[in-house]
Amino acid sequence: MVERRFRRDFASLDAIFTFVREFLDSHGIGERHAHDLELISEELFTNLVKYNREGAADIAIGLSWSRPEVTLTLRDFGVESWDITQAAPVDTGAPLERRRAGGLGLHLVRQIADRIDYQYQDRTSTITVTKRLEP
Amino acid sequence: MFEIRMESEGTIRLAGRLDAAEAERAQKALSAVHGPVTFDCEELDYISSAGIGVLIEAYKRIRAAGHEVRFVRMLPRVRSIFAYAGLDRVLNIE
Repeated sequence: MVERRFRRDFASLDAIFTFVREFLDSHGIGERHAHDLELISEELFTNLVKYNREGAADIAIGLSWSRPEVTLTLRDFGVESWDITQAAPVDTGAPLERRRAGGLGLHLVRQIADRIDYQYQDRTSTITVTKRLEP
Repeated sequence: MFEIRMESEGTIRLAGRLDAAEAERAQKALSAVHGPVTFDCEELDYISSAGIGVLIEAYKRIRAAGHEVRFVRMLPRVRSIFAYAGLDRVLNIE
């Protein structure tokens, strides 16, 4: 796994996207897979930035590849536990006027990823996402 | 990088990546949009939930004023994000 730390700020997104693309390129994985991985990275990273404001200055993002699966890991330090896998589902059938704000990002991750896991230990949240990349 | 370009009367081109880092700036730009509008999405490469939120806010405001809003020439990978969100059934996406 390769891991890098990113400042807890939306301005880190460009660097995160570059990190994802460089990882894919280093493993000869087609660029067409970048979109989904960038989206998953953004939604989870921004979720941590928004809802764990008391966390450490940096969030660690890791990537690993075991054909045909890529695994993305986010580690957030010095935070309270908040299990994203328990977040309420979004009613995508509701009319716009009845939809509640928030939750769409995690919904998108659930649609795109194959598996999402959450662990909490020693005030560190770890989110692990796996996605099978079709050739 | 994300750009909003006012083109012909009633047509606004969205270009680049509308992510969380660009959402606030996009929201400010779209707050000035009134009247019927067609969003040309041919150059919109990427959108996240933050970007969708900005577009939905503009959509609801413009529709509440009685005007039409259309989204045209959306890339398949961007359209799929709207579909995941169930928005392809409520927005006018051509």
